[in-house]
Amino acid sequence: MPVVNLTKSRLEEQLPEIPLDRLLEALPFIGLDIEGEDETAIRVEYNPNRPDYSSQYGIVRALKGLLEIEIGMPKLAISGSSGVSIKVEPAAAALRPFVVALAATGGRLDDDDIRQLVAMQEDLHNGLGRKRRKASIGVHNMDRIRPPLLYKAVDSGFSFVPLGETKKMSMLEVLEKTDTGITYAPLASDWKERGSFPIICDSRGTVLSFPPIINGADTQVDVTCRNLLVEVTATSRVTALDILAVIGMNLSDAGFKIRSVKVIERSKAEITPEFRAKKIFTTPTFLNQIVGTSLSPRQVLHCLKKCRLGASLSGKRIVCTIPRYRTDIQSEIDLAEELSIGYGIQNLLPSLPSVFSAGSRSLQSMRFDAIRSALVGLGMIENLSFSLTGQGSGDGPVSDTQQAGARISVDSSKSAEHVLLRSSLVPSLLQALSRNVHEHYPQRLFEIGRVFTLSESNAVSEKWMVAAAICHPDADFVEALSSARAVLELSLGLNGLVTRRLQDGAGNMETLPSQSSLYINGRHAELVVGGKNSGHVGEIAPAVLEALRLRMPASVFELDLSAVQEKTNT
Amino acid sequence: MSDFSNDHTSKSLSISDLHPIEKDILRHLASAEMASAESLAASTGRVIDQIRRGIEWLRLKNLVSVSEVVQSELVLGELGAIASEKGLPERRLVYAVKAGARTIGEAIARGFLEKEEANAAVAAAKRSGWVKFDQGTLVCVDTAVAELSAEERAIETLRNRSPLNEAQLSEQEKKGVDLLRVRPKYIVLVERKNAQITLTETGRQAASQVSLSKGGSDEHQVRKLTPELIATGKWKEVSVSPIDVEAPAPEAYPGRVHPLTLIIDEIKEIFVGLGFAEIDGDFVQSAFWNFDALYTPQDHPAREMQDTFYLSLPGRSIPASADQISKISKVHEKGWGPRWSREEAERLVLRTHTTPVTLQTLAQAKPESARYFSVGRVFRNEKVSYKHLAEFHQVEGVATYEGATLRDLVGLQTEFYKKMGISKIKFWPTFFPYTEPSLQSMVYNDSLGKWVELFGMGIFRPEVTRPLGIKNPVLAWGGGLERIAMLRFGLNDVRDLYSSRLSWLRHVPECQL
Repeated sequence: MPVVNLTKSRLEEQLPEIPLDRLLEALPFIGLDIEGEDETAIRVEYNPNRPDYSSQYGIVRALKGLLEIEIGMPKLAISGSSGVSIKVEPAAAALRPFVVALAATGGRLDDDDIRQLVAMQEDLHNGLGRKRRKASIGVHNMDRIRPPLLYKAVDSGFSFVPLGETKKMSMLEVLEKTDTGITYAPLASDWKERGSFPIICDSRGTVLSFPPIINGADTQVDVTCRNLLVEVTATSRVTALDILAVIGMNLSDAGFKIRSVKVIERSKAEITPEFRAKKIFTTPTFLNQIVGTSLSPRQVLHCLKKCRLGASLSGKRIVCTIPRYRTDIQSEIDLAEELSIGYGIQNLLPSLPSVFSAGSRSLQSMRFDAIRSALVGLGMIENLSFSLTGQGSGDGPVSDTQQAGARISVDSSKSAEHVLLRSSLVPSLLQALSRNVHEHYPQRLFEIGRVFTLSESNAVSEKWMVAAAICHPDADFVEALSSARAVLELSLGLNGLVTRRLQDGAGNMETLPSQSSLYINGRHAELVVGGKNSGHVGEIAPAVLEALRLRMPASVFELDLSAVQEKTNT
Repeated sequence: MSDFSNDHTSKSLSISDLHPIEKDILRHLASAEMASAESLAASTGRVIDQIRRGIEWLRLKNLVSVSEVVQSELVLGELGAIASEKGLPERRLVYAVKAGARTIGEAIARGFLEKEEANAAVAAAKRSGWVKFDQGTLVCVDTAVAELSAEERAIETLRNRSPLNEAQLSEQEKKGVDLLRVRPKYIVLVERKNAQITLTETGRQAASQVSLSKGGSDEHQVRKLTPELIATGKWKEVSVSPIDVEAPAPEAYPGRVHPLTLIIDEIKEIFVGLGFAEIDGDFVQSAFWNFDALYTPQDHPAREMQDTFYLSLPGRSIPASADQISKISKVHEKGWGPRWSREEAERLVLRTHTTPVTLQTLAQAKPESARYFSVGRVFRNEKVSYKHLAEFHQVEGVATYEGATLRDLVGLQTEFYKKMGISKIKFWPTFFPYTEPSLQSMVYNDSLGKWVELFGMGIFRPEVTRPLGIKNPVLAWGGGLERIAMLRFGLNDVRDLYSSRLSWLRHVPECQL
């Protein structure tokens, strides 16, 4: 989650009537997590749905509402035109379709303001801007700009001095040699192929920016700056206007006058920014119903106003006006949250539903418990391991059990140990034995877990398995088979399986000889329950033991619970 | 045993009641009269702890008495030690003269003597008649070559027979020792306390019985009661030998369920107690149910590969009805812009939360009123560290009924925590894409002495419930399970839970609430 540094000295200026400890208490109740605090600043984390919290001004604005210093919709108006216009060339719009802008005049920025401005810009880039792909921002010293501006396309050879450099660089050099260029080059890969890049420049040809990569050096903002030009280019016009509204509101709170910019595309001219408030209709009944309160209409209005919304009654309805920078409020339901915040989450007394409801464990989880108690009774310890396993490098023969064609892997895993969905629990159990060679024997481990296989039609099937590994000087096939039988007969209600087989020869549980490199030849068998292949039993081959640095014999069983349960359910 | 300790004059002394260790000690004392614990250990071949224990038992039975004897021992002093290594100064003077030294000065200069030793060397050598001065030059007397002086022999004795007390010296040796003791720092007297064990009167009787019975009783003693002895009735003819019941037994390792399973069971029980029914579903989900149906925009950062595991398989047709798909795509287009991609929704992911399972259950049953819970594995493409896993467990509960409110959610969550033994709770607003309003809960952990973020919660957005025909509000909460386990078992590294280390699995206590 994004982080904002609140400067304590500035908080005191902005909210002189509130002591700092009271502010600290209030912050979580507008949805901010306090990350840390030092002598000069408080670090807070905010949720990405509230881009207006990307600067101290936005947070103070919300605090003023909650603490009832200033309630209702904050004033935000456009103080006329800046006289600046941007002409959009179709070639540039074909690369990155939208550009919008505002001018902010007559303000002052100190070092702290500039730091906050840059931090806000970065947060908006990462959040609403989706790491600049969807939208990116350029803030410029307007006094260095000679309008009108031009949004145009240039070729790869075009050069300008990018921010942070002293010499002219070509578009390709910017992408290959500057730090931000390298970071964001993937966003320009198509353009590189086409040999066409968007820039914003002024009437003298001074480059303001190469969106969404980097600004020009000439229009950099510093503390002497009194007038700003903010441009946003985007692949979504709504997002561009959202961002412009958030910045406009914060610059207005910082003491700037916001003036409009005309964007001309072909014969069409549009004036930006766009600060028109959205209206949402609701009723006190609906909001009270969701939150569980029984507030009067007046109280509801007051709570909404504390969240810096405009609110008035119109008959039985509430007309709520949403300032343009509150991009998170989409519909009536969002007002319920505003009500609860305005009312104070701490004031919500717990209540309980009066509807009757019977609780229950699932049949499956009860079966698993029965299996656990049988295996624990046999002296086994439950192991838990991951269903997403490594490629098997270093596992030696253990990894061979999975047939390459049937493997299911994930894309771009951050860890080599989590790449493949396992198809058997046995490898993890053997790994567990291998990890415990210095512990006392006998060792008996079991696990209940899911495995994954790919069917012939390429569908993923998930199955629950139980497996156990037995390791001690006398561990053998028979102990593993007896343990499997105990699970089948005692935990899964299949008692009598074996005796019935003796009586009618129907073969309810059979062990059929099988072969696998994991097991000793002639000591491995498929477990067939009711004619269905349901698992296997075997003694681990010495080569496998050696690869796992195990110096004790080991045997295992694995049962497909999904297959067996099908049997027990019929 | 109590017979001996309570009634010293008892005639009930029976050597068959004696422990083998006790018998060994008595047997040895019968011949040695007096011994130390160390010498008993050496002669019986038992470890010193057993002997000490045996002595204590015998003392309580009044069969032996333990007395502390102070013994003075003769030990070589600082100069004695040097002499034992290099020879006495007078001996070295003789060597020097033989090697050609003509004055004391020369003997010192050639390293035979230290300056401080010169006087003593000359005095002693002259006294034994080994050297003499001839016109100021040192001359050796012939007899000085082979013979060891009495002092030299005393040093030899002390070196070879330490510790040594005066009583053990022969007349001859004593003379040499006395001579040497006159010279400072050659011999030191050290006092040592020693526990000596002697037989008491009853002990002497017992010891002689034990000695006599030696070999006799063993024929009728067996170390182990066998099925054969019982079946044949032979047990009547033998006695089973006593064992050292006070000795520690080796550790036993019972089978157990995994500590995480214990917590899962506990949580399931709490849910059942609150009227929730358990549900379960697949780990592999379509992006549609994992994200789209939960109103998570298709360009949301959480959907990127850095955060979510996508299977390296082509997408599958979405397991939902055409109506559901069309309604959900419309909700997206209205809220997040006009380009909803079916292809993106068809991709297969490892579920990043259990909510898609919950949602499908609700969409299937469309209950007027229901409470469901699940505890299951979820996946995030995280770099694994002490606080993050790529695969972990999530706990989730939902309740839907007419008139469900945010206050009910706070109430249910509070009840849930209470049953977990958590009473200090607070709620703060937060954000999740699919709930509105949304809250996060903080609980106070006494052992950490601070507030810890636990479950997140909220009411499903209408954009989630309406397209699926779910009428009533759905209260939902959930969060990671491992964090609770870490607090419970005092772990600092979440990976420990999945380490498969038997040292931990065998020994971790099953903490109760």
